[in-house]
Amino acid sequence: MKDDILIPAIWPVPPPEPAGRPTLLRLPHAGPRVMARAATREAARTILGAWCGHPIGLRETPCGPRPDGVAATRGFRVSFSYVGTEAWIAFHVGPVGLDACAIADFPERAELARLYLTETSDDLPVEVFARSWARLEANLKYRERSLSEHARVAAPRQARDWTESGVALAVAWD
Amino acid sequence: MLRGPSRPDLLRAETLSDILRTTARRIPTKTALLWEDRQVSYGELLRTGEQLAAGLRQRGLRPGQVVGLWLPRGADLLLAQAGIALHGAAWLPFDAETPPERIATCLADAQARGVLTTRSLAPRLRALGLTVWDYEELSATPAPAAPSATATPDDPAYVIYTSGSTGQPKGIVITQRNICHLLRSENAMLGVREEDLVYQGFSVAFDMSFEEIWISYLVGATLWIAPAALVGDPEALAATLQTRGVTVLHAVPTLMGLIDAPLPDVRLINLGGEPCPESLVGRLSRPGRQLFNTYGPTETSVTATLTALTPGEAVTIGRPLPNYGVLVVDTDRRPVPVGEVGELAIFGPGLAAGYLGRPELTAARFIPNPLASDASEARMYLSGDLAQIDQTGVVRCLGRVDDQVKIRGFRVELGEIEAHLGQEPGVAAAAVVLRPVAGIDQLVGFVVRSPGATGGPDEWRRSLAAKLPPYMVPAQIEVLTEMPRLTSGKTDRRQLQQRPLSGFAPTAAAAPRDEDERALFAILTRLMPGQALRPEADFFQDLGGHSLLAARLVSALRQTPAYARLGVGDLYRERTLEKLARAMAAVRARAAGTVGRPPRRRPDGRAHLLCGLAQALCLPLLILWHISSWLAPFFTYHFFTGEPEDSIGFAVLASLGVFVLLELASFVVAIAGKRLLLGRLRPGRYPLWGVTYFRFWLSEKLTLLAPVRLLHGTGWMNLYLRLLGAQIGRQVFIDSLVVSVPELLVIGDGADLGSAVLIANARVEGGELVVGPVMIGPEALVESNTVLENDVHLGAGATLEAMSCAPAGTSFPPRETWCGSPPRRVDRLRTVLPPRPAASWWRRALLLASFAGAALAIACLFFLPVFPTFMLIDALDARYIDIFEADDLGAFAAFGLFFLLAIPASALLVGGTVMLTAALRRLLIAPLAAGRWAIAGPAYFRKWLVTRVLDASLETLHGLYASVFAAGWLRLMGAQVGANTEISTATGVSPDLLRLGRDSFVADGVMLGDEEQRGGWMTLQPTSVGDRTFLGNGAYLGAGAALPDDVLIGVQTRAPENATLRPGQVWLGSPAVLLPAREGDPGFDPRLTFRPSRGRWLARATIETLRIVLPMAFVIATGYLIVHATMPFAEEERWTALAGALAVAGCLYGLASFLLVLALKWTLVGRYRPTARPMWSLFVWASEAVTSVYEALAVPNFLDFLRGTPLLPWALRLLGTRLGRRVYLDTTDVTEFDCVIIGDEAELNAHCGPQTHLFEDRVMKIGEVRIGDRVSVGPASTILYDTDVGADVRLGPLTLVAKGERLPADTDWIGSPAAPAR
Repeated sequence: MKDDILIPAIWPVPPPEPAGRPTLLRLPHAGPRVMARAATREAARTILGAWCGHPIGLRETPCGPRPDGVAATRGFRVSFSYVGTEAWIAFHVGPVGLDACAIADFPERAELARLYLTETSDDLPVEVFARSWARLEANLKYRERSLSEHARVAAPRQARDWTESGVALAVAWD
Repeated sequence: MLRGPSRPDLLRAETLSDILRTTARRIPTKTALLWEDRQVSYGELLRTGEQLAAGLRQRGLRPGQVVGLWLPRGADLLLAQAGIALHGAAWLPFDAETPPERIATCLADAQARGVLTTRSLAPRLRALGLTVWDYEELSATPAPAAPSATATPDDPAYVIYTSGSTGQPKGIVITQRNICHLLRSENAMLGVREEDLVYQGFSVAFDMSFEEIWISYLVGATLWIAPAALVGDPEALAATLQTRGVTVLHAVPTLMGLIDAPLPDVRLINLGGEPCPESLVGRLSRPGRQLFNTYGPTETSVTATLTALTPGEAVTIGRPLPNYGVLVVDTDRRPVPVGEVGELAIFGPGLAAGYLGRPELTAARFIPNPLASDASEARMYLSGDLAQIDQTGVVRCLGRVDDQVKIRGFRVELGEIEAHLGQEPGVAAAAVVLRPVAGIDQLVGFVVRSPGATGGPDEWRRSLAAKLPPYMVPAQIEVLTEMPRLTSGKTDRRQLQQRPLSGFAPTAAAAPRDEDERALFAILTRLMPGQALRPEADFFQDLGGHSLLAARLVSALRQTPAYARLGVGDLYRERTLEKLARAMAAVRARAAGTVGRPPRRRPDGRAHLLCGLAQALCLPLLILWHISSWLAPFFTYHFFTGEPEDSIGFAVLASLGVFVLLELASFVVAIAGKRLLLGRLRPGRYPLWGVTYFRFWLSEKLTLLAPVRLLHGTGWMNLYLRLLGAQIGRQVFIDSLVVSVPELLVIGDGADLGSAVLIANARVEGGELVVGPVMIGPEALVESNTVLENDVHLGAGATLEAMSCAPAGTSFPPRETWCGSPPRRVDRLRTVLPPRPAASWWRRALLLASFAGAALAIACLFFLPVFPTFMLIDALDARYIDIFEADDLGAFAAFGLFFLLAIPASALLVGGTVMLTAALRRLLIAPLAAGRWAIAGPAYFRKWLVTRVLDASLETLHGLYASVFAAGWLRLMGAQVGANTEISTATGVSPDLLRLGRDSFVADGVMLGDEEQRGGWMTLQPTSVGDRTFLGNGAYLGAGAALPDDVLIGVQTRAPENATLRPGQVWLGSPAVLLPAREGDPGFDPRLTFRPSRGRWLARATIETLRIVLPMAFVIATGYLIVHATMPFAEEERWTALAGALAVAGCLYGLASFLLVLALKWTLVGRYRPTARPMWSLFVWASEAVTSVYEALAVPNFLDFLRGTPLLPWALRLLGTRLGRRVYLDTTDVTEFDCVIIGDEAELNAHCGPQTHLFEDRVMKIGEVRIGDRVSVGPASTILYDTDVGADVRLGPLTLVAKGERLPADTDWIGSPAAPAR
């Protein structure tokens, strides 16, 4: 693994946020997704370890990675998302779902909007699609559910969007 | 060191059998186990257990010996466990998924005498040469007269194996004394009670199951054994826990973290098995609920420490249980000072003797206790957990000390896996580490091959998978030339943790091997350019796929018709490309077979024409008979009045007599016509528009003539159905039912059917009339608003819940409960009713007579207000005009004059009917109270009377509904209705028990508080709807529903359980799913939606008054015109001419009703277009007026008879609907006519319809519904607006196509909301 691809971007480790608010990290990556995934998990472990004062493992579950040990005891959860050459990690004391979706046009957009976003418009603007998709996916991750056609999932208790440099992003938390 | 409370009273010389026997003898009738629909009492548990014990004894098993226990989850497993306990033997439990090889290893190690399993699993163990005992055979052993000698407290009670570092799993033996003490000690802290219902979710191979099972046996609580499917589905589990009323939960925190439901009945939660997150404590805490965190290794009998959890306080593992003790030691096993971290050691009466056959290991882990105060504390167990005891005297657990690892929640010793891997052929050396692979902590094996060996990683993994549980099989095995070693000679694990894995090296692409892989690879090449595609690659892990790419991939694949039924769930299940390709092949094969879809029969144009002509010839007679039910009494009255010497009283009596005679004769016509015309229709498929279809149509239209509504909810309904050819058993209760082919309906004894049940056992699909039987078994329950298609069988005692469908060919096993569209099996505990109340023959006869008398009396009473109307018109006519004597008056002028006179008379008729109904309701029928009442009793009779009065009012007072007067009308009937609440049509209402909040909206056909009627009992409960709540068309609320404020229950939606409802939620479907949010406010002025001005209210009230009165005036004026035109024939005693003239006039009246709607529609509304209009606007009032006249006049008097004929499409075309050729329409349920576009040869079955508007947020939103060529819409299905149903689509029964759906051509859909039929 080439350490110089990712790790330097997260130093210094950000201080822990006040409990109840999610913390968001944005990391550049230039390698294949599979390497980015390993590196972001490593970064998440490092950060959680720094916050908790103990080495922290990430346990893979069918619903995504979960922190182990002291981080688990404190209720930390993490969520990952990758878009283009960026990776995002959300940390939160409690459930969290994060997704980033690139703004892009593709032929299946209208069908996907109808099947998954329950949007009726055939010409949904690409930005709106990306934002809606990120919200849906963040919500699914938050609820630990997988994508399915016509799945009506409950809205998160609170939701907030960021739009930064062409990336629509949504986070859901308690 | 910490010691738990000293409780010598808990230290007893007893065994598990003593505990079970004591409880079973104390409370033999108390339910011990609930499994699916089976209940096992403590008496039965003991009896069956003793039989099993006797069987084991006969097979030579002695108390204290070990026996394997390998049964699938369920009551039998716990009965088998109880049997072993009662015999005094020790069980060695295995998960259902354990490989037989591992079972064999453990059995041999434990020197087990045999293994107890089911007949179905036995062959797999016999193949390994094991001694296997059939559970089924043992449980049939005759019960012994008295229990024989059993175990001593120091005999083993059970043996549990955990992962062992030598490659052999290690067995831990727990004695009867150990575990019996634990049960008493732990429950002294937990406080599980006899009245508790305890969730049983753990595998018996996990020792936390003792907390669930044996603590319950200790106190006599009831165990609810969760089905395996629920244990892995937190949402369904939460719903079932709530429904069941579970009060005690023992669970791992992970499971509780996934449950996002309040579980109000759960009073005690015991968390254990893994660290408990602090955030969970806050979430789970609530007043009245106790929350515990427990900790303990298997070696110390389940649990050693416990703490009550409090929100805001740090989570610890608490203090030792009574009689237990703990201390923290350093690496030299010396106690450390308070606050320092070390290894946790445990001592006390739960301590196991050691590991079975592992004296060295036992000596290493079970060591002398340096702080022992007496002989009972001489030994302690080193837990391997890092811990500290803090200043407050509680223990904090900080992780593992040794090289055991946890993977997916399981404790695994790497050495055990290494030992197995090392035994594989061709493996010279092996090591296993836990390390992140592709970001996931995975087991990775490293192997050095023997010289010349040929085996490889794939074979080794397959071999390990056969011997080890899945979580112990390395995800990847790397082949090394040499194993890295430390100077000590040990494997250098650190280097193995860090060395690059070959999986990270770029892999070469592979060529697709078949057509499915070719199709898949072609699309993936476009979606994921540059990726090396290999069949074994995981879409998510290896190719970097994510949900959006997954959705795009499946969407692109679906463009190929052969893969049209592929869902994104397939990709989540089959993650590798080769597995996905196999799923694609299966979908393609099903598509080739069109899922049993028979080829479409192309309609014959000539048959269509001939059938239409034959139907057209029958229509005048049908319409005439229908019209005569009011025209004949009308004529009779006027025949006997008009002269000064005539008696009004006699005329009224004669008129009523004719009315009653015709009502009764209608039943005769329906029954005789049906039997003579059609005989017995046989199951099969008949060409649409053919001879059989015509006969079916005509017989169905004849049954339409009978006023069956009078029979609903009485024994007369059963008799009527029997006369039509149905087989109805004894003590069957039917509220209201529509059946297409009665002779193919069989209902067993004691079955119950709710209201608005639709038996669509004949329906049109694929150009054919499909006919088949429906069998409802004895004691089965079919709740309200259900739809059953042909070839459906409901087993004895089975239940189909409200708003559910049974698609063609469905068979429901006995005693199972199914719910929803499509139906899904649910695990629901119903209140056990007292035995069916007995009713003597004379009481039943009296009831039947009372129902008959009351039904006719209500029919007559609702006819009575017409006579003052006649008197008023006659008086006005005689005083001012004298139309009857004016010879030169033309028909139009006469009609005009009659119409003018009829306006005040109609107002009088409406007012009179309202007053009469209210008087009846208030003076004669006492209020209904919530509770359970016998159906053969006075309370039910009162409820039935109220329902009949409301039903009858729906006919005469139809115009009141969906008007500003509707709420007042329901208040008059006894309901509590808040201000500004709108009501279209509500059914199933018990007004005394209904409360509607303010600003709410009840759309058309809402079932509002449907009472439960089963087993001879009716259960009434209050129903309440909060403020600003919206109930969509056809929504269903059972009695007892309590909807909070601001809730939206969508179209055709069954309101969910009260406990899951929260203010502001939106629910859709059956079963209802929670939607993210409702559509935004379209921004209309509140004065046009929720807060109209007084002037606007008056304007609407005026228009709606006219809407109510004028159509009625039209009816009365038409009646007078007919009397005016035909009376001369009567006066001249030309009776044949009179009959002919009345026939012509009757048909013309039917046609005129339609022409009136046509005129109103085009003058008041014009062409409907997609729009959004606020409710308090002229357009909406005009539109509602057209709809009201259409439903009240044109449909019952004319269009209903055109259903199923080629004439109905023509009638709708005149109203603006665009219909293709040869459309089959068995529904008149169309409102915004111009917004419905139906393609050629489409088929719309009974009670289905395009729903082109909704009134959400008090805005009438209108949109188009497009139904493609040859689409078949199932019975009672609804297609909401802004939808496009592609050609050749088939929609199942009770299916809801939600707003905005585009259903691709040639696909099958079913359900509410619609989903691809699989």
